Amino acid sequence: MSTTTHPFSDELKARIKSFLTRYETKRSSILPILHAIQDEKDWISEDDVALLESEFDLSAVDVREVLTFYSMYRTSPPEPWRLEICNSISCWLMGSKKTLEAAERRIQEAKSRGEKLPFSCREVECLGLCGKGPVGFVNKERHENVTPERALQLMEEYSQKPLPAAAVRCAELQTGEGSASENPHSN
Amino acid sequence: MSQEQSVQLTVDGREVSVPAGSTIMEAVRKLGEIEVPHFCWHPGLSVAGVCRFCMVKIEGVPKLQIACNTEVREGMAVDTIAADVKEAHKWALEFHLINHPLDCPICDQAGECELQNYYMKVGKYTSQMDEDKVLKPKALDVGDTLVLDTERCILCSRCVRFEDEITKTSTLGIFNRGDRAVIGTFPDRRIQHNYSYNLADICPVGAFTAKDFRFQCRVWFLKESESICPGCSTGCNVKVFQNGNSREYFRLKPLENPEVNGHWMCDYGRTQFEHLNVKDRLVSPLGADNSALSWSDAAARFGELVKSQAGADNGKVALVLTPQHTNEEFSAIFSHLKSQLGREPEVFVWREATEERDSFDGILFRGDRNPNTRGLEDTLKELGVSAKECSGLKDVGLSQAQLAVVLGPEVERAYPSLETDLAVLREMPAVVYFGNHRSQAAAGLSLRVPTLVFTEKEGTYVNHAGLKQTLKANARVMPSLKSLTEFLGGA
Repeated sequence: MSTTTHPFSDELKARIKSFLTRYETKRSSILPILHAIQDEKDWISEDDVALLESEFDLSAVDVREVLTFYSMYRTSPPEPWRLEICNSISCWLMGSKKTLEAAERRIQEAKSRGEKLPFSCREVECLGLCGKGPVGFVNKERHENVTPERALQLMEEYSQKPLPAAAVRCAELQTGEGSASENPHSN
Repeated sequence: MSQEQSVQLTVDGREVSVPAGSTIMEAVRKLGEIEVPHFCWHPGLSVAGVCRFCMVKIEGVPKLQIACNTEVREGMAVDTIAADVKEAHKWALEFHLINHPLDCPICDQAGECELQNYYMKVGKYTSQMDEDKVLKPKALDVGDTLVLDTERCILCSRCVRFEDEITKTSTLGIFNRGDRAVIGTFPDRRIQHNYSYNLADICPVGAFTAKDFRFQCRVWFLKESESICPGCSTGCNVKVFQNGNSREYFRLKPLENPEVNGHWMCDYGRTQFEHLNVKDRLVSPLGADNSALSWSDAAARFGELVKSQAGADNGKVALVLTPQHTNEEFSAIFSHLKSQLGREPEVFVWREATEERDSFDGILFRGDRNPNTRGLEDTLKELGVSAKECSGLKDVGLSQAQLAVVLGPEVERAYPSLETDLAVLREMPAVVYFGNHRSQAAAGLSLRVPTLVFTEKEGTYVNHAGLKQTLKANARVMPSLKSLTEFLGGA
C-alpha cells in the first residue's frame, strides 16, 4: 500500500542526498535528481516534487520549473517501452517519418484490437549518430538504421522481454495508489 | 563620490555622470526626460534582462544592446532614438503580442497597461502574424487577492522575482517552455502573504489583477492623489484612487519613497480605503438618542457641556486621544478645552488592549496599527502635558471624570476591543465622541461628532522612525462635513 511504502526506495534517497552535496547550490542538483527518480519509477509525479521539498529542502517551484521545461522528463505514467525516432535532418532524409508512421500505425492497430502492446512512440531531436539514420532509442538502448520494418521487428522483440525494472516499480506504485484512493469510494 | 568611482557618458548627446557599475537604464533614468521602453526591469527588483525591449545603440558596438543589463563605460555614447533602435522596439513589442489575447475591452489593466501604453508610443500598428495564438489558462484563482490570466502574461518574471526577493516566499515560477511557458504556482498552492497586491502593481500587463478591483471601475475614471497610509506606524506613502464624480474611493497603491516604503505596501494597508466612502461614514452629528443634530446645534451642545465643567473647582474632565489623528488636531482639541475650561483637562492616550505594539514583519508591517504614535507623543511633549497611556479604557480612572472628550480611532479595525472600551465610556455621565464611522458601536454616548478621514485633511503624521509626513486634503466625501478645527471654531 502506498501509505506504508515510501515512493522513493532507500537507494534512491541515498542517491538524491549524494547529488544534493555535489554542487555549490542545492538547486543545481535538480537535473540529476529528477533523472534518478525517473530511472527508478519511470516518471515524476507532483507528489514526488512535493516530497523533494518536504524531505530534501528543494523548492517545489524551482523543481517544477525544470521538470516542465524539458520534454525528456515524463510527468505522467508512460508505457513500459518507449520508441523514440530521431527526426532531425539526416534521419529525416533517410525516411524517419515513415518509420514513425509505421510504429504509430502498429500501436493504433494493437489498441483497436485490444491487443496488449506495451509501447509508445514519438519523434525526438538529433541523437548524435547521423551516419546511421534513421536512429532510434528504445528506452535507453540505441538502434541504427531503424527502417519501418526494423521498427516493427524491434517492437516485437522488446514485447517478448521481461518489463524493465522501472516499469514494474511504476506499475506497483500505481496499483498501490489506485487501491488506496479507491477504498474510500467503495465503502 | 570620488572621481574614479563615477563614469561620464552621453545619452542622445546629453552628458550624465553615474556611479561605476551602473547600467545604461539607471543612467537614462537619472537624466529623466529620456525614456527607454521596458517591461521586465523594475527599480525595486533584480535585473532579469528577459523582455529584450529596452534596446539602445552604443557607439562602436555593432549590435543593439539592452539598457537594463549593460554596464556603463567611461565615454560611452548611447543613442535611444536612432531609426534602428525604434525599429527594434517595434519588433520586440510585436513579438510580445504574438500570443497576447488583446482582450483589452474586458481587462482591468486597460488604461494603465504598459503593453497598451508602449504600443501607442512605439508599436508597429500593422501586425504580420498569420499564426493562431497559443491558448493558455485564464482567470486562475491563485490567492485570496489575485486572479491570474496566463494568456495576457508576457513572461517578464517581475512577479517571480518579487516572490523570491521581497517576500522570499518563492511561490511563483515559470513552467513549461517556449510559447507554452506560463507563470504559475505549484498545483494546489496559493499566494498567501501580506504583500500580494504588489504583484498586481508590478505586473506590466493585465496578467495579475486585484480581486477587489476587478470589474469595479475603468481606471481612466479615477483621480489619483497622494497620501499617507493610516494602517500602521510605518506610514507608507500611497496613491489613493477616487472616482472624480462620485467621490468614491476604489483603491490604494504604494507611492515610491525610498526612505519609508520603497516601492511596496502591504495588503492590510490596501484595505484602508474602505472606511473612506460615504456608505460607512458618519455624516451628521448625533445626540444621545441617535437623532441627527445640525452642526450648529451640535457645536452649541458641545459648548454647553464644556462650559458646565469650567472653573477650577469643578469636576474632572478627561481628554481621550487615539494615535490616529494629526498633530494639529491633537493640539487644537487640547488647546480648545484648556481655554474653555480655564485649566488643563486630564489627557489619556487610548491604545488597543490586545495590540502587539513592537511586532514587525521585517518588510513594512508594524504591530503598532496607529499612524501617529510618535506624533501624539511629540505633540503632548510640546504642549507640556503628561498623559496617561492606557491599554484599553477599563479601570484607568475615567470613571471619576464628569466629562470625557474622545478622539476615537479613525480605523476601527485597529481596535478589536472597541466594544469593551465603549462600554466603559457609556457608564460615564457625559461623553463627546469624535469619530468617522456610521457603525452603531458608539451609539448611546451624549454627543457624536463626525470627523474627517486621512484623505480629507491637511496635517502631520510622524512615523515610527520620527519622520514627519504631511497629509494633503482631497475634497470631502460630503461637502457638509466639518473638520475638527472648524467644529471647535463654532463651539
